[in-house]
Amino acid sequence: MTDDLITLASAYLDGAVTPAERAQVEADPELLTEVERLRRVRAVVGDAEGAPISVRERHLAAALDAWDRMPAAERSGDSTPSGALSAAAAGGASITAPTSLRDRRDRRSRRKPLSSRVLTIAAAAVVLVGAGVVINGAMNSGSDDSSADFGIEADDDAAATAELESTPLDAAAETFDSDDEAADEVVVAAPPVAPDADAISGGPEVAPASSDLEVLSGNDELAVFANAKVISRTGVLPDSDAATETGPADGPDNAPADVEDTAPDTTLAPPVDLCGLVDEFVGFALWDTAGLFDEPISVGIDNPTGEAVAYQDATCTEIARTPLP
Amino acid sequence: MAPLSDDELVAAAQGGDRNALDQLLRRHYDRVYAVCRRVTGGTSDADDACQEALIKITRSLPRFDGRSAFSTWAYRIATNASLDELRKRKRRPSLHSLRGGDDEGEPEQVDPMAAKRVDAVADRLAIDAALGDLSDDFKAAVVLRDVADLDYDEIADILDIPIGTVKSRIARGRAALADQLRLDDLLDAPDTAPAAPSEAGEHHDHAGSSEEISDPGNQTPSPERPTDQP
Repeated sequence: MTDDLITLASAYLDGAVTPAERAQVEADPELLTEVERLRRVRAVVGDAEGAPISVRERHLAAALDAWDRMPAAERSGDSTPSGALSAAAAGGASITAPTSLRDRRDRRSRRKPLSSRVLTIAAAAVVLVGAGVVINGAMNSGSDDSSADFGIEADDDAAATAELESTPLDAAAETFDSDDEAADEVVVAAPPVAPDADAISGGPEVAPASSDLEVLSGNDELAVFANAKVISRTGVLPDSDAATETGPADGPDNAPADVEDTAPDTTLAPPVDLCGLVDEFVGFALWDTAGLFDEPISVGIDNPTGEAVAYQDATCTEIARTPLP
Repeated sequence: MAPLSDDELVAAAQGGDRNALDQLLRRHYDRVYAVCRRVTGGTSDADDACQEALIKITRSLPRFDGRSAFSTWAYRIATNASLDELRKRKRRPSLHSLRGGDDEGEPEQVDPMAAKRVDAVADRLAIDAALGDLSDDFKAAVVLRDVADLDYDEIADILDIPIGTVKSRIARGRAALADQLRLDDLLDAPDTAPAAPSEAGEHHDHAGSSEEISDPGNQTPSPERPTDQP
């Protein structure tokens, strides 16, 4: 049988023939036999055994995990990690070298689970409220009405918030001043906030002077801030010993893989916990959101995704994440 | 409540709905896996290819523009992932094949059910071996038609070849499989045995076609690739 006739028989089997071709096939016993032969092939090839349930569930779980790991912007098709990385490179970013998959996995494994972070925050909130109640109790010791205490506390909180909003940098300076008296004054003025600020930020010895802090009010400002910090660091790291041993670190591809561990930039990278959220710390800032504004937040770069990340290093709580511009 | 269509699930997933993505992947999983299973020809390779395909589908979904059906798009990814897997891992010769018919005799089976299971496994391996002998081009066309149930237009789109070529590859691929699996023996028609190879340069018999469309990696290489244009 010729190839043309086999093709005709196959097309007949698939219903892809003209009426004339159909008539031709149906009038030819040999062609009908070929059709039957090919039909059997189609049946055995199409009868592929399915995957075991365990395999199917593993595959689906891995796919959904990949989805969960995608940044929100990428999920919505607004951006891609590669685009963000390119943008960072184009901006002259001298970020730390790409790390190995193993390093990245190790970092990720050090990341505190969400439940742990929630518990930490909850514990801090309990301490905060407790401190506020005790202080207010001392200030209003003559009163037996606890509801009145909470009312006063709320008023104080509102007043403190209003004060902070009116002069954010000055208020923050008070909050993170290492002087004990100043800290005490802030505690009295804003009991629900000030003690927690010290507790969460890890103490005033880590927090910088607030006059140096920029106030970020959203992802756009976070991206600009991080990008500016990264660019400002160009020329700092290449002089390190590690960099000179392995060549100039004028870009991600040339920077030594362990530069982050062996040659930290003490000027711009105070000893804050990277929390497995970022690969490089770039600076402190204030986050203009109620409940977060009063403490400096850490900003870093997640190199594999090319994203700027704002987070609380004391609790390893991620606040915001956005691709670099 | 009527189940959501693929388009609706895609839109919901693109809007961030994780459950929609889960439904979408589950709905098409069996065929994606079957495509991978048939193209790669082995459970291990199929496992890897299917995993890779699902992750690619997931990661690319935000950029899926709906110009083709989701299923077509997904099977294209599955096909490419499978072909990539094949390129990475060259198939080993299968231990079972129905070709040749030169078995010396079979050991006596005490348990008839065990015999059936063995036969079933042997059948699967024989199909895998026969598919493995096809070149990737022909195999992909046959699998997309007979496993994924795509029409010629969709296959042409996925493989980026003319419809006539799709039709030719499917026909010749099926014919080669029929020869290798000796499905003629199961038919009543007396005149369906493979004919002797014809003269060189003519493609008038099954055996000749089978040689030409075989995978060079598994067969003695033929001097040149067959022209599969109709």
